[in-house]
Amino acid sequence: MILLLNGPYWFRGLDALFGLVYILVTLLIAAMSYKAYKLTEEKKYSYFSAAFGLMSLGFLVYSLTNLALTTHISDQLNQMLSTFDFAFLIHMILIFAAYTLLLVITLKIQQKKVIILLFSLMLLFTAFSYQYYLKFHIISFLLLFFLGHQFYTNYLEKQNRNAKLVFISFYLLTCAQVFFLVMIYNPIFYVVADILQLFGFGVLFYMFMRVLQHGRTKREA
Amino acid sequence: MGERREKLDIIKDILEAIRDKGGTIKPTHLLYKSNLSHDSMKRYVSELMEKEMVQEKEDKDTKKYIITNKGLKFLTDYQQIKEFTDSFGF
Repeated sequence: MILLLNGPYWFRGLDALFGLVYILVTLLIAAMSYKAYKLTEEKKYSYFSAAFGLMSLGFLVYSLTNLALTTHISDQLNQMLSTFDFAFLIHMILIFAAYTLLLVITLKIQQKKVIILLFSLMLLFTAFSYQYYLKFHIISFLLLFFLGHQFYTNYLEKQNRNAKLVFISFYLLTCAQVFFLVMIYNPIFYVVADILQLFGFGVLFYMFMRVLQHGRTKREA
Repeated sequence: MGERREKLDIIKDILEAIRDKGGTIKPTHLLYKSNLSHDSMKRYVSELMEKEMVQEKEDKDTKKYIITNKGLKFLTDYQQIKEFTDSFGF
């Protein structure tokens, strides 16, 4: 399983733990967005919730596989996972679907033809791709960069701290993709990338806690 | 020109108007307070009734709207949801 077991040997397993943080943060965002959907019944919130739910699933697949491979839970399972890159493939499909859905919502793309085209391109790319690892991080970089830019535009418009935290978080996730790419030159870059990604989701978590706390304070005032 | 209100804000304004009138309001007052057209207000109120946030009551041939516990709960959750949606630019 070349694609999942990356980075220096001492780091193996730790990235699976980082994955738990990503799962938690994305699940919290998905839940809050679903709450907004239940209150307003506006579809954009349900799509947003679905996007973060997909992200959470993607990280779950990645972390569980990584953990299984690192801890050697079952030789049979390890052999199966090592033969195919399907765990990474599933992770890639889920993450691409999540980012594309986020892009459709944040760019307010409403034309069904454009949405179908975007998803078809992602699906075709995934199905007929080789060198998954490189292409995955190049495409992720692009999608995250556009998302980060969109959230930056929102920050300029709203000028509030939470919006600032969101765009910082997405730019950190974008930067992480660059280090994932150069990991082929030195495995230590994989650690840098994962730490950047952890910071990215950490900032998103901090924003989420601020929303919870601030909402509570305003209600009590 | 004022900013266009999101659905979330309109629901909040309607429920707040009822709550601030002691929990019960006449349709004419609600129309004035919510700053909506007659048709829009009817549409929103019937949606809120479907969601059980508002109830309709006939009192001496006068129609009145009452805010329910679910409606009051929405107002307490509103601030959180609003800050969350604003952070992502909805």
